[in-house]
Amino acid sequence: MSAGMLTFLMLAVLIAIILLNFPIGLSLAAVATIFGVIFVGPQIGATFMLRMHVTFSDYILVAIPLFIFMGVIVEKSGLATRLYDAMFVLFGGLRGGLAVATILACTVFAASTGVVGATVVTMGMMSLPSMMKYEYDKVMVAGSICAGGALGILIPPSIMILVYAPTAGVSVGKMLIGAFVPGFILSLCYIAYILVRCYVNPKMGPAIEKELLDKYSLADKIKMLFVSVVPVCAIILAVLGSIFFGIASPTEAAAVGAFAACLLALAYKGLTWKSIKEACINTVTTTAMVLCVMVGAAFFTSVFMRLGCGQVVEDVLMGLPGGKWGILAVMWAIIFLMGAFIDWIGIVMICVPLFTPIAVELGFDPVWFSIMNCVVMQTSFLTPPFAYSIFYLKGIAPPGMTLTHIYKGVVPFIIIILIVSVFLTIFPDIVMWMPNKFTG
Amino acid sequence: MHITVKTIVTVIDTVNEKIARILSYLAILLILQLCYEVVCRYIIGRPNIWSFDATYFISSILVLYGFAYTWKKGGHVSVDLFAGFMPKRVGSAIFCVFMLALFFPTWGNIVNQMFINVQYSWKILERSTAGSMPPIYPYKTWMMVGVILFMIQGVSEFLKSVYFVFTGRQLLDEQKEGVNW
Repeated sequence: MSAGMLTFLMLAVLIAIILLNFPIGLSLAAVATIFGVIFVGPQIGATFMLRMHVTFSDYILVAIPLFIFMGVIVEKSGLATRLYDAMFVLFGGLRGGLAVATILACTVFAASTGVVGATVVTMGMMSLPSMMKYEYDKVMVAGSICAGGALGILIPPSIMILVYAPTAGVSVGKMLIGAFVPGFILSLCYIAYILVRCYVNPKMGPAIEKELLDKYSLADKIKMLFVSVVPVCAIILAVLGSIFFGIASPTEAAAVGAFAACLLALAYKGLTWKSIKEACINTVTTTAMVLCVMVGAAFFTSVFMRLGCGQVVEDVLMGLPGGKWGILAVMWAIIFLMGAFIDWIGIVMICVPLFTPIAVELGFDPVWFSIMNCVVMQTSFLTPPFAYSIFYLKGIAPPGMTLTHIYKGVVPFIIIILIVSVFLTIFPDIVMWMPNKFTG
Repeated sequence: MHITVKTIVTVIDTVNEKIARILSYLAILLILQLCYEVVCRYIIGRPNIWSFDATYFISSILVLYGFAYTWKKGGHVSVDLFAGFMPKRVGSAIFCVFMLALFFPTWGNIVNQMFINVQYSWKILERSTAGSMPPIYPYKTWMMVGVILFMIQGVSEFLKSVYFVFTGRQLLDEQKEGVNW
């Protein structure tokens, strides 16, 4: 059988099994076994065993459970409430101020957690009641919580980057540092969008009463800011700073960050044995989920590449018209479309090993390409029908908010992500100046 | 029949959950071990050569022994997009077929290879070629045991689906809540 035929068959069978609701990691492993045993031989099992041993002894991947642990501790510490209260007081007076406060709180929160679910659920539970009370536009509210929450996977510490970097063979430190800027740009664009919409149509997000805010003096506001925002930022800066200056490895930095988060929670009186227990078990299940897909994908790519299918994909993409920009657009379109059906981890594990060599051959900087893919992959949390942010928000949404509101709400934010992606493609230096200074 | 199946499934689920919960405390050990290494390396200036090995030994147990419980919780991501369009019993039947045709052969094959490798590793008392060169056969052994526990959880999930296909009822009163993601 020709390599082209094999490539098609392997991908088709994989997609069929995944769409029939079999766990993604197990589907990848199974397809690898079928094709491996038939076209390589039963000894392919030895390769799989080796890939498993390698995955489980990977030093960088150890940072995943550590960052998850840190995120859960921060989440349980009551920090989110303080964060939102501070933002509420600071921005509530603006038109659309509560939605702005939500995005900002999400951004800061994103910098302490590497996943999305925690951010969407916690922020949703806190900000939804107040926004509903002031009769904010439901569509915009839903969109801003989903989009703000999705930042959690981009702004470091980010589990996505920890999975992505070793898969692409790119420096984890450079990616972590580099993802900061696009994350903040997105956050600012979301805020600008909300402010403009609410300025044009004040009914979408009325300002809250002045009397309510006048209770707080300037000193109060500054104090709130210092108690709630500054400590988190300090931890994050310590963690990322130590990676940035090459002092510590990401894994060590993650461990210290987890430890510091515990101290912070202790200071907020939010550290109980129960929350530690919960952090431990959540760490295990979330990491197991990620690793299951990674192991399956490791099997899959080892067979896929060995049968020469990687070359086929490369040839097909390289043969596309439109030169390097056309190929880049097609690659992003594939990622975007896949994002509507599977979550990012499947996309990373399937696309990255195929796309990265092509991008390098086309002359794109691998670090830039990787960070940009992460930006585009944000949409996988937002694009219906399959999108985690939407599911999480629906889970906690008040009765008046329907799935349609949420679906409509995410659209403008997806468009913002795409616009920002194009912008950062035209001006790649905005993404690259931080990683280029990276010494470690 | 019903009682036997229910007992088997309950025992598997309970044991695997207990294992995951108990071993999840290794997360604390992992953090302390790495923080200790950070202190030794950057403050005292005397790094420990065994640290690298200790890190992946701890984390491999922590994560692999949670695979089974994660599955029980419905945490291994799947795409339930089209599952909504078909009857639930059909979906379960497809799952059963996949388990028999794909899951058990795939992981059985790997465990088989692991078993050969572990035996050999114990025979020559194999050591790692990196770090402090610790004995590597315990690592290979607990990796194999972890995969076997995962396969046993597969038996439980399989039985639950078979039961549902035949009776249209859930065997256990449980919710697949997924993971915090």
